[in-house]
Amino acid sequence: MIERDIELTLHELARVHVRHEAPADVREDARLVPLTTPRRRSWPPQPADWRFHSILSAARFVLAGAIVALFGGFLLAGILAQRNEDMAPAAVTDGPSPTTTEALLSGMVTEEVEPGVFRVLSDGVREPLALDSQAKVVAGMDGSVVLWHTDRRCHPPHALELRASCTGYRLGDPETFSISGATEPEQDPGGDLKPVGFGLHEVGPDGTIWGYSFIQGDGRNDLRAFDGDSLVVRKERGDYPSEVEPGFAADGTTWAVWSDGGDVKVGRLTAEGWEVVQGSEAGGAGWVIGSATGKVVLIRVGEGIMRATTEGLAPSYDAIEAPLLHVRRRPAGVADDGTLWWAGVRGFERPRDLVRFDGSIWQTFEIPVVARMGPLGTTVAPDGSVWVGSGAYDERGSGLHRFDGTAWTRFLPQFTIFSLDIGPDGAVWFIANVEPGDNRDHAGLYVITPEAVLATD
Amino acid sequence: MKQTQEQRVAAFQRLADQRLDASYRLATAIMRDDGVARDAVHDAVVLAWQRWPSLRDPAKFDAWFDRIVVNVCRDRLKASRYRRAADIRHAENLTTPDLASQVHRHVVVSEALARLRPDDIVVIVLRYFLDFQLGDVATLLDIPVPTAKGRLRAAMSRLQAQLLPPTDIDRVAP
Repeated sequence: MIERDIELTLHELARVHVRHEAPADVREDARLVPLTTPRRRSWPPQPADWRFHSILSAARFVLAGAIVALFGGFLLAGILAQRNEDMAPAAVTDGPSPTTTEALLSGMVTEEVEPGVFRVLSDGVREPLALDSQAKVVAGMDGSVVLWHTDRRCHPPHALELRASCTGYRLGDPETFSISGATEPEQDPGGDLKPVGFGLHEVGPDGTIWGYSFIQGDGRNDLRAFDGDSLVVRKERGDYPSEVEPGFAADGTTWAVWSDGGDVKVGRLTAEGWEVVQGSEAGGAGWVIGSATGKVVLIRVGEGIMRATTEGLAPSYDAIEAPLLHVRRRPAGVADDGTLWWAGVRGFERPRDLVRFDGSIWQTFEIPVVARMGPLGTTVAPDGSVWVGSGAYDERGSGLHRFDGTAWTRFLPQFTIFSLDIGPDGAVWFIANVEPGDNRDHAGLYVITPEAVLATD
Repeated sequence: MKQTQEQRVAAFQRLADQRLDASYRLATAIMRDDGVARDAVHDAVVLAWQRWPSLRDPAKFDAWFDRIVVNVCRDRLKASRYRRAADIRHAENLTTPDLASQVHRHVVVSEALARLRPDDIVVIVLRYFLDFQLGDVATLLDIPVPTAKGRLRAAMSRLQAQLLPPTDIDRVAP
């Protein structure tokens, strides 16, 4: 092909590939960027900023010296270690911490589908555990695991007819909980019983099972807890758009944020009921989130983030700047060091990225393409790693994706993940199936043991 | 007079919005994939906002922003070793008597282009996809005009070399 033909073809290719107008969503995302992304205030340095360059040069010099010294130290240590090899003590490795998962699995009937990955065939009380895409698993802070087993027939308006199949239970525990209809005397005096939906939230450190109930189309929800007999309402009718979701501290305190006539209120549960610790007339966003171990509980109210302590609330993360004002959604999780993670925040770099905020710096990390096809759950493990479950029709499930802060590891690519949670010992509990597109009653409950997770590090 | 945060945001939004069509055009030309181009433009907007304080003269926003877009696209090409065959989904828009032959040429050239180094792809795309004059190419890449000219000539030679083997085979084929 002569050069003239190549040039002609390149011009023709331009007609195929070049778009002349930016799509509306690209334009909308671009408009959001300055509202959700912090500016780098001093980078790149201005030419006149000689002090910056001086400091930078000095820092580079010190850093180079430190690297040389460090390298020399390692070299010396290596030589010494080689000489004293016979005298050296046995290497100590970080083994898995004592696991509650091991004890839990010992009472169950399981099938090892891959090394360290078990499908629960029976919890010792019920069998088989045939679940579907609406089921949810929660690994509690007390080491127990709770399932909410439902299917689409349970959802309103069919919930009343078939509510028996919409039940929850703690694995290995014969007690079950379910929820029935409710009347609305205020809006519909003498009306029929209306079907109530239920979503599982969390299991507190004392083993209490928490969730929220809702009536379809009502727009509000009640926070409920299982008292051993039924799901009783513990906080009525939060009118905040998202559900009232509690957070649990390691000291046993239960925290919640709710909206009351437009005011965002923060409260903790006492024997007498909810004690309002702080109320904000500013309205706006509010949420509470606790780490998997309960060491950290962070509460968003108004434009700030507070840290829950045994004494009450302490200001935290003052310099949240613009991004958080626009990220109203509750984070996917918080690590024990207070690092917050979100998945899929629109307008924040790429909409499907993982967003990290450590109190001063916002960072985004690209979620692997296969996980982007359908991130179905994100959670933060006790070791600070982030897990994303995903599903895709053409990638054989897509599987579980673990992000350790620098790199992604993919587990079980053939699985489609419907629900995901991580226990305090690091065991990964999830509901999944291996038949893409066939979600009804073909899913199962699986667990990756902490040892298997550690083995991949 | 010092700008408030709201004024800074509004000024950036206005300038970026005005330049977005041209940037998207640039990104689709270099990346030759709508989805990747979207991500590249978004990355460029984020970077531009983060570097916004370093832009002293807002009148130079367009050239400054285009340079960021090109650099982001080039980085993406480098980082992902982004290689794809010709996307001929829109080939039906090209109505010529010898459509089959034209599509074949598109595929061959597009594949050859994809095998080039990112720097070569960028300079060829700017010159032939977007019809930029050499002076504009040089400005965008922040290099002197003679350097741009030399880089384009070298890139075209490499593209031609990529196309040689099939041409030879065609010549000896019965």
